[in-house]
Parts: sequence; C-alpha cells; structure tokens
Amino acid sequence: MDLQKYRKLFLEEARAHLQELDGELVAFERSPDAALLDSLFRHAHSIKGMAASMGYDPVVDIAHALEDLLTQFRDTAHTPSAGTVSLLLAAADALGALVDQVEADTALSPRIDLVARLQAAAGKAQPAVAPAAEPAPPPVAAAPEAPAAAATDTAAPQRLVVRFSALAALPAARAFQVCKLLEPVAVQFDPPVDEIRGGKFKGELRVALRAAADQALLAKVRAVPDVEAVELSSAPAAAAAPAEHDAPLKRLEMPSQIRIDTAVLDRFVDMVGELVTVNNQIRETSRGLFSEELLTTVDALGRITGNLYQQVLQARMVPFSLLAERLPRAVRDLAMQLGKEVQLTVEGNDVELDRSVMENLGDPLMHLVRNALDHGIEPPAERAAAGKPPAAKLKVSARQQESMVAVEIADDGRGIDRKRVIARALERGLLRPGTEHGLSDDEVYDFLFRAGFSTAAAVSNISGRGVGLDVVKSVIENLGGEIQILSTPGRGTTFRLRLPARVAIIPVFLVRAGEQTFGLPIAKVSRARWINRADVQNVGGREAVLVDGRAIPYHTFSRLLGIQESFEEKDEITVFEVERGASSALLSIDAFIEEREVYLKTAPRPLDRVRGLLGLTLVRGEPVFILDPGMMIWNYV
Amino acid sequence: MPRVLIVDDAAFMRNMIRDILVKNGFEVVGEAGNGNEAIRLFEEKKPDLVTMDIVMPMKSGIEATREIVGKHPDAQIVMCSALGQETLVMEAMDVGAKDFIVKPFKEDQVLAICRRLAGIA
Repeated sequence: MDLQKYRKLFLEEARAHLQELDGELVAFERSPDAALLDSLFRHAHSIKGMAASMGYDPVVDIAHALEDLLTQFRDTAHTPSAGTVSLLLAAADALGALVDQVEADTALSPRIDLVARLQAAAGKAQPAVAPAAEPAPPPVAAAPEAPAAAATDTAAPQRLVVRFSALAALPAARAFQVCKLLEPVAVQFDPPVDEIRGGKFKGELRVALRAAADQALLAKVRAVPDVEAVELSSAPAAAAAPAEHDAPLKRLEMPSQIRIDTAVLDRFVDMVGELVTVNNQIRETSRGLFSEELLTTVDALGRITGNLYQQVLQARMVPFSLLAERLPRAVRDLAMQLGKEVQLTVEGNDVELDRSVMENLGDPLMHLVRNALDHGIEPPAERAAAGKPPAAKLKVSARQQESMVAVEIADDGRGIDRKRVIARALERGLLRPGTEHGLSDDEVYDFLFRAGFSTAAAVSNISGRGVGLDVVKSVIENLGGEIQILSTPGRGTTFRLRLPARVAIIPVFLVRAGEQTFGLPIAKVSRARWINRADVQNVGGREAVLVDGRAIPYHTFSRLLGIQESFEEKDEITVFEVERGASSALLSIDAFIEEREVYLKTAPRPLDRVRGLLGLTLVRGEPVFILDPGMMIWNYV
Repeated sequence: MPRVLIVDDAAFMRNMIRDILVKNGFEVVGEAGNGNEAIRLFEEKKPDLVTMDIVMPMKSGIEATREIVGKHPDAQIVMCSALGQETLVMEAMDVGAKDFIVKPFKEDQVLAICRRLAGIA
C-alpha cells in the first residue's frame, strides 16, 4: 500500500525518458534546434515530476538543475560547447545510475557536485553579448501550478485546460470522469469524448465552456485524483498565449499503448501454443469420423488458431530502434575516447524483431560497433594519408528478408588484412603451414571467430574486454542466426548478421536417442519416473509398466524414431509420462541431458509438414529437433 | 461514522479494502461477493458508500451499479478497477459510478476518494 508499487512504472518511464534524452543530447550537439531543446526539456521535466511524486530527491535535484540549464539555452539561444554537452550527458548518466539504485532498492546518493556544476553552467550560459536591458529570464516555474486560482465569475465563455499526472494508472478514465463533471457546462472537449472513450488520451484535456465555470465545479474537478492542474482563461485566444513559455510542460506525453507485462505475453504464447496442439489433436480425431462438416469446421478452427498464434507472436515484436537509439551516444563517446571521427547512420529503425532476439542482440551489436571503431576505422591522419575523408562512415542497418532480419554493421575503414590473419593463425597453430594458399576469404575470416584470436597489436580496453568475436558468433547462432564478414582491404568491413525475426522460447528436456540429441517440451511431459528395466512387462502383446496397479503402455523413444538404442548398462531407466486426455503412456529415454530454454524455430519446408515435429533449435551450434512426445506415441504407433 | 458496503468476489481484496477503511474510521456494514448480493445488501443496509469490483460472477459490478443507481440516484459507488479495465470503468461511470480506484490500491488514494464520496473530505 505504498509508493513501492509505483516504482516499477517509474522505472519503466524514467528509463524511456533517459534513453531518448541520451540520443537527443547527442543530436543536439550536432544541430542545436529549438524543437530538440523542447523535447530535452520535456524529458527532464517528466523525470523530475515523477521522481518528486515518488520522493526520490537526488533525482529531482539533478533533473531540476538539468532543466534550468536547458532553459538557459532556450532563452539565450546559446550554442552549447562540447564540454557542456558532456556535462549534460554526465547528468543523464547520473540520472540513469540513480534509477538503477531505485531498482536495486538501495539508498539514493545525492550528487551535490554534479548539481553544482550544472548550476554553475546555467549561470555561465548567459548570452555573451547580453542585450543590455534584459537579464536572463527566470527559469520556468518548477511545477505546473494553476494560475487560475482567481477564477472569474464573469459570464464570458472560458477555456479550461486540465492536466493529469503522468503517473495516472488509467488516464483516459480519469479524463472521462472530468468530462462527466463538466458535461453540463461544456461546449467542446479536446480530445473529443469518443476518443477518450477509446482510450486515446495523452495527459491533457482542453475544454471550451459555455459560460464561466463556478468555483464549486472547479473544486470538484481539482479533487479528481490524478488531476495535477486546472488552468482557466476567459478569452479563447488567451489560451494560446502562455503556450510558448509552458510548451514543454504541456506535453507530458503518455504512450497511447497499454503496457503488458512481458511475462503475461509469454503466458499467452504458451497458451496459444497449447491451443495449436489441441487443435491438431481434434483434427486427428475428427479424421476418423469421416464427417465432411466436422473436418471443414476443424479446418476453420485451425486457420483461426494459426492466425491467433501469429498475432500473439506479433505482439512480442519490438522495433530495431530500441537498440539503435543507444548507438549515437556510444559511438560519440567511443570516437572521442579513441580520437577518431565517425559519422554514424542508422537505417531500418522500424524493422521488427522478437523481443527475446532483440534482448540478446544488444551486446553483440554493441561489440561489433566497438570493434569497428577500434580496429576497422583508422585515425583521421591515417585516413587522410590514404586519400580518404578524415571522418569515417559507420552504417548500422536492419532489413527484413522474409522471415529473417539482416543486420549489418559496415565501416569504410582499413578492412581486414588477410595476410595478418593467416600469419596469426599459423602462429597459433590453427593452420598447417603450406595449406594457407587455397583458403577462401570466408575461411580466413572464420579464424577471427575463434576464441582468443585477435590481430590487434595491443589489446585495447575498448574491444578487449574479455568478450570476443567468438562470443558474438555463439550468441547469434544460439538465436538461430548466422554471421558473416565481408571485407575489402582499404575500403572497409561489413559484419552481416541474419537473425530469425520471430521465435518462441520454450523450456525443453534435452534427451539423447542413440547418438542424437532431441528436445521434448516440458509442458508436454506430465512427470518423470525412474523404473527398473525388469518392471517392463508384456501385457497383451504390448509392453507396459504397472504403476499404482495400473498398466501404462511403455514405449522407447529411440525405437519410435527408428534409431539404435544406446542404453547405458544399468537397470534404472528414466521414463517420461505423457498424457493425452484420459490415457497416458511412458516413454523411456536413452539418456537425460538437461533442462533448458530454447528458441523454437519453425522447421523449414518440407519439414514443417512432419507431424510431431514442433520445430528446430540450435544447441551449442548443432541443430536439434523439438518433438511432441504425444504425437509420436499416439500418431505413429 | 460513514457506513460502507464492500463488493468484490475475492476475499483477499475485500480484506484489503476493509483493513484500510476500518483503520481510518469507516464502518463496514456488509460484504458481497457478486452483483446480486450487492443489490440485496444495498437495499438492506442503505450504506453511505459502496466499493464495487467490476468483474464478478453472477452479476457484474457494472450491472449492479446500474440497478442500484437506477433506484437510488444518490448512491455513492466507487469502482475498484485493475489496469486494463479502462473501458469498463468508463462504462461504469456512464451508469452512475461516481469515482474509481485502481488496483494495486494505494492507501491514501483509496482514503481520499472514499472520504470525499462519504462527504467527509
């Protein structure tokens, strides 16, 4: 029953604002324009407002100082120096660190030093040639106050602006509540009530009133929870007047989408996955009934279920921009650190990838970008000597290619020196002397993906952080993707990644049949039992095991697959009990390997037609079939 | 002492609201687990305030609100909503609910709203 419950919301929103703040600060350094400044101000202001309602004072202090400094820029049209932008970025970092502390539930450390520096910078940001008469205007009021306290009783029509807290749980319903109160005296609502009803509402309701609102009614509106401010003006035109000053405050934007806990989404995927399985079972059963009508209905159900599954997977998709947004800042900082000049371009911000792919792609992508800056891109002098422009081009792009997404990290740097890679491979004993001549480029570049292989003369602290290209490659392959290097000496290097756009993650038991590994979804196994080989009896010509006085049919996994068994010489065997409706069966496993979560990829044609084959996954680089044990037992026996 | 009727199909939620209200000077005159019971208890107890869950078996909170307010236009009903029930909350306000609280409940907000509706703001 306390603010802790809102912490999660705070964390999400604050992080979203910080993410944008970061990217926009970097953009602001390149081209300081008023719209960006407004947006920056809005982020700082939103963070401040949320932190204030949560009582996170150290966050409030920094956000407030940040706001003041930004206000100075806005009012003086002063162009910030690189030093000041670094200070602004430091403030953003400090806010990020504090947000992390909020998440870790540790005490927040006040950053008095940083606040002081921000304040000092705000003082210095006055115009170099100040227009004599006008000193810098005072910073914008800290919190949106209602300047309407002295509401008039005149009969003139009025306009009302009602602002809602960014933390409102159901903002549209709150706005709707205010609409209900004002309905008798309102002429028009902006946004219209119908839109609000549909859930479209972004924190600010403008109302044109038929006549002056009476104080009692205004008091009722102010008393509505989540209402932060009620502003009143008597002339419609005047409503626009304070806008310039308050503009950033007015647009406390709320996302128009509903947030869903990703765990809920995962449960949806599970449940719809089950639905698909049940649907398949119905289809099998109905086949035996020879009813044309039933089959048609089941087919329709199958199509709907299939669509539903696709839709649920679609709901897990996130845009590439989530990752790409982090790049400008990272590239800026790295370039400064390495003394290189880099122009970053990003393409394909809208390309969508499954959330889990995106999460796992973050580190490899960052690593490849670091790698490009550190190894690929030459220092400006070296570039100039080679007749290239001093500023290097780095392009990060994402492109949809059927069910895959191609992500490329391309630089126009020095390219990979084939000879050096070969020399290093020989030196490390990865290549037998004399065999190097017939190697293709791919084969040569493959050495770069070997653990511990580095051609950099000295391991710098940029790329050499213990994570190598070998790790990048294994992460990409575990996602069901692949990575390829294209390089031209003197012209640059491109890392090309191909990733499945959508996948589902399911927990499976990895088991061995013969020499091969297979996955069985945990959801399809009701329990594991350990039985003695001697317990397997012949009951009416079939193998069965007596469990609690009941004969349960017994099958051997490897025999079902037509694979030579590879039982270890011991009496105890692992069996999985599998249920289907009222019947159950035992499936013995040659060997149980482990339980793990895997990314399930739809099997490529024509394997996707194989009944009981749920899909494929990669385990340690090897493809593994994920099978439905129930389908194997009841559809193949 | 304002008299409250608590309506929710989950005992857990009823207990939670009861604890907040009783601790702060409200008297809980009845508890209902569905809309039908809510209507019956409202007629019987004539409470000053009703906290009404939305999704309940037998009869929903929206239906119950519609019926209660239809007969007693001054009934003070506050809906108990979860995130994601925004449309339902608006529907409830259409049929006469006066306000709403959102789960997870925030003690001060629950109190502020209940006090105001009970006329002790």
